[in-house]
Amino acid sequence: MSYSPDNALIIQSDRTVLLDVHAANAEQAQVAIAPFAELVKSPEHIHTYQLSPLSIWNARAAGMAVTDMVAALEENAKYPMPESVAQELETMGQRYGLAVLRQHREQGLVLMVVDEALAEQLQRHEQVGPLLGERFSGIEFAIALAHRGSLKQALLAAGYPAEDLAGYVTGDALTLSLREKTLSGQPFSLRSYQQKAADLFYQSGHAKGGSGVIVLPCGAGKTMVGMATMAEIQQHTLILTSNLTSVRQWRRELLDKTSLTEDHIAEYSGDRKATGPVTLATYQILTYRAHKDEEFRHLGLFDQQDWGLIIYDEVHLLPAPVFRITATLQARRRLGLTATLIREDGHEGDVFSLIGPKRYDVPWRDLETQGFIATAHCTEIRIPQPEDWQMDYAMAPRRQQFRIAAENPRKLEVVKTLLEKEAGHRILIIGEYISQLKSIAALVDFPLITGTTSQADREKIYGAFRQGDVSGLVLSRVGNFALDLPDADVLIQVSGKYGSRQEEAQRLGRILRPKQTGNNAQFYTLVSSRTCEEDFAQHRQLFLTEQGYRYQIEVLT
Amino acid sequence: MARTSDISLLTTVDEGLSFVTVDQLKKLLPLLPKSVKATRKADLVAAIATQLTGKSLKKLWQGLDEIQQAVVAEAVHVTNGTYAAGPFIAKYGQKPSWGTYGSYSYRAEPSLLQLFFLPTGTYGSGLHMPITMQLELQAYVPEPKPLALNTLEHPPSGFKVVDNYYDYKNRRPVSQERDVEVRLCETERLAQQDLQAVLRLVNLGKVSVSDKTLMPTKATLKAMASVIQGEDYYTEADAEPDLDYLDPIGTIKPLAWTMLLQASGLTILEGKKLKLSKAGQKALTASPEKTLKTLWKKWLKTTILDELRRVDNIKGQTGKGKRGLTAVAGRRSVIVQGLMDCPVGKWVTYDDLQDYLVASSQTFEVSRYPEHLYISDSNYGRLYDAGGYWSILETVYTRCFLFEYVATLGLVDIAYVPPSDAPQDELSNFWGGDDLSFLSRYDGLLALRLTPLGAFCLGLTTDYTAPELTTDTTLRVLPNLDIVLTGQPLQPTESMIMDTFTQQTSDAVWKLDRETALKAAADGHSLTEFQTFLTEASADGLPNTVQQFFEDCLERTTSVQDRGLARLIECKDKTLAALIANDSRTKKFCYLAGDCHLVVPTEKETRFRTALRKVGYTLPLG
Repeated sequence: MSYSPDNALIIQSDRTVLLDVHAANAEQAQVAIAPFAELVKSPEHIHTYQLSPLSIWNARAAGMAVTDMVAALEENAKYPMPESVAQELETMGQRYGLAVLRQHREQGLVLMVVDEALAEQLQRHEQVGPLLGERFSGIEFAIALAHRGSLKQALLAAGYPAEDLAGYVTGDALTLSLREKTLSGQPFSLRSYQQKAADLFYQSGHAKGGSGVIVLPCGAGKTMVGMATMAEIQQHTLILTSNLTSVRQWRRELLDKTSLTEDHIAEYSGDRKATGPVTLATYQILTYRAHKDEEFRHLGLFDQQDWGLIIYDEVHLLPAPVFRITATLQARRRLGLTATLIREDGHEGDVFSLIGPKRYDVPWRDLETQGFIATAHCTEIRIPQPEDWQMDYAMAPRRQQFRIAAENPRKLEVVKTLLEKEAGHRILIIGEYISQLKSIAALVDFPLITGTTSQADREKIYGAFRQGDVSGLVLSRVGNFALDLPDADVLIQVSGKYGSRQEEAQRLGRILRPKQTGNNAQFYTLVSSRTCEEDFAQHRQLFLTEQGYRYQIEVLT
Repeated sequence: MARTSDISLLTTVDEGLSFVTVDQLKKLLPLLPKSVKATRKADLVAAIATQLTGKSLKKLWQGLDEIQQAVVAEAVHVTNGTYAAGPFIAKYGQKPSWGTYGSYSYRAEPSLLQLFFLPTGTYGSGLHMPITMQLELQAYVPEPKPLALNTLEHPPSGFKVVDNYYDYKNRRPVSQERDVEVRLCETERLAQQDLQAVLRLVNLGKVSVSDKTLMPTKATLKAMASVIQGEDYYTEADAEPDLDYLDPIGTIKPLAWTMLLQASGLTILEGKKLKLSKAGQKALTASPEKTLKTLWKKWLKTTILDELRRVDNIKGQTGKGKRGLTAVAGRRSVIVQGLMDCPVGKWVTYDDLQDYLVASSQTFEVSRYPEHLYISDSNYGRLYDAGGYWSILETVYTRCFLFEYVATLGLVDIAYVPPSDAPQDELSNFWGGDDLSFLSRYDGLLALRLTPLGAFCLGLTTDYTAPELTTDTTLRVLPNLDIVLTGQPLQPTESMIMDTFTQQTSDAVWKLDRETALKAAADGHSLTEFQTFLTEASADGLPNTVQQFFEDCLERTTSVQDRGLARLIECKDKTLAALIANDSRTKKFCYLAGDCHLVVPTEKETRFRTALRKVGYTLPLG
């Protein structure tokens, strides 16, 4: 087969598949590979899919034959498909279902493998072997309940993913329904993609569902997906979030849009340590310990109730101790919610194996086109440093250069100019360095919220912003996540945490919630020219450009 | 054009007849229109001479056949009474009949033609037409047909060859006929693309040659073959595994480019690696046709390689035979003259071109002592018979020059077959020739066609418009600095450009990164050129982030400049350093570096030392 210009797929030997969205057969190709390829990036022109073991096993689980996958790729390939890809598909596809986890009525959790040879191989495997219990027969092993997660991780690493059909424990019942009209009197219904995400997660209660991650842009209503899932499962639920503000937002939303009342919702935080049918907690409280040699005293929360569902909000922030405990919670349904499944520490794989596979993802720009999130215009403004500042930058040790560049005093002038330009809009100014933020807050006369601002003060200021009493806020990194300020439509990022793609995306997310009017948002990022900040900015923007956002670069002189 | 000596050695018919023996004169008698009875030589001469003039002469001329009349016409109007067999046969394609010859000379029977050409009495000067006869014949013998180069609208089509071999299984000789397909190579556009590719390959430091013979290494030939368009004229596919008795053909184009570059001065040899000279660097961005013309002109004069050395089967070239080899520039100029007579856009078979050169006496000799060269075996295979007007040596040399250099440079398109399928009639006349699959890898050259680029390089035209090198490739340049191939696969040159300026991250994706781009710029590659390439190849233009990437890189390439070598001077203390750096006599020649150091550019060192002495200090030689 030679070059076929109308076909849309470029299949690469590293098992990535590029989809040329302008090709004549792009739509057909997209449909053909969707069942077994995972969308990784979706910038304009070219979307990138990955043929991962997980995506292939998911397709196999859904009954798709490997030959059909190969045929789908070949039919839509622009260039001849590398031999190795077909072979790897074959190999990986065949491995699916060779190991199955089942719940046996008498023997408890059992790992069943396809033949004795594999059983012997796994028993001798360095990671898998120790997790295997008594061997009932040539192909069956008893598995300790606590090892369910670790074993799945180990089997995945060994290349023999377990099909987990052991199901989930049934938690305590909770009657919950979504309101058709919110408490505040607004009509409410799930958007189609929210319902689809919840359905894909739950899979009508089948053992193949019930664990996984939903990836949706900020402002696209991940909380709604969480609530929809709760409504489908109808069991006690533990909701873990990144901070107290988020806890309050969840509470607000649950009360506003579900049949739950105050009595049903408990808050397990530094202030109050209550549990209830629906318990809201933060990662911080779970991982709190007075001394580093101490045990994590609040991890017991996971066992305090018979949870039927655990929701991990902002799952990309999941701290290591919660990962570990999650490995022992494989019998409970687990839902991860995030906008950016990127971890700068590279632990995305752990999220997949312990929380579950990505169940639903949608390109940010798709939702923007449909009007579910605001249309964002991203602009990078490059600002030269004053000469003496530039000299300080040049003479500083490399580690300090970033901060000097980030705190370029001329950024203040630019902030002021932007505020004049965006007068009448609801503006967030967000940055990394408190001293810089204080200068800006003093200059523009906006309230400043940092980590030291008490929760009560934060709520007050956020409330004032929501009410329109203040037109802008200056935020430190506390504003990065889970901050629901729907009317904010301009964000000025004056500094950031080096090259964090996730932070860039989360910050953009602050202004993506659909607007009452206009539905446009402006995202400005201020960068000192001729400094390392340019390089970091380029890296920060990667995730968003891969989601289809275009940055305009303005160079000031 | 005078093709033979202007001085005729024979004036009258009587004079010529006087050098003919009586027996031969008697054999001429029956050929005369009127019968003659004479026995004494003087009577015979007088009788024959009487009939070799006036009406009898005309009658005799009319009695000649067409080809014999052509011989007379050539002698009367062109060759001053002489007959040169080589050029004549080349022009008319056949020999004239001079009579019949038996086993013994006394049995020979002359034809009418012998009455027109008589001996001169001078040893080795052959037969001449007497001047008086020439003058008389000029009155009615028409001018011979003018010499013309045969041209074709289309290249030769395929032909059949017969393979003869012995079937040992069935114990019988077998003759098998098969079709040979003629291959075409249109070189004009390829040469322009190849030039850029090979220059870039040199620039990447991937071209190594022997520092003694200047011949490329095997790795270089392989690298060259991988970047040139459409590969070499012959590829590995031509070395069929079931035909392992055939001699290997070897490389042509990759070697040609290596030699052409070396001869042109676009490269310089550093150790065993070729590097681009300043001219070579310029050529990277110059219009290819001008560079090709330069390469062509330089090659005509180069002595780095005698093309005959590329003919492996002609042995003795580095031994005794070397002394007899003629200067290559002279040989090339003869072939170039022939090429200049080729019309642009018309096919000319190699055989016709060779005949044309011989017929017009534009010949050369490869060796003054061909017997010092040999085929196969130095005892038996010596090329005694490779002298004369044009021999296998001249053929093989011309073919090599045309195939390997003229075609590679894009001056001619060529039609060719595998050398083992080419007719080898002449080779079999030489001892050992039968054992060879072919004499040279160039034997398959069948025909050529002068291209507009060829006419430009030969100076036949002053202007040349290169065929537009369209960029078919469609690349998608993404805002995240990824470049994705979505169109036709990249051409080798394009691949090299991408490899030079970007990092390939997967089969169809390249990543722009500053370090790679800056390294390419430091190596002399043009970022602007690359940006232009991307813009042209990109279906949607470059995103703002990518444009900014280029602007940043371009700024960074000019932000730090190399100002040459300098000497670092350390002063005893910072006040002295400040004094020297600020003194009106020395400050023009040095710069303060840090507290106690001065930097003196090497070219200002002498003046600095002089000025320093005037300030009252001296700088001991380091």
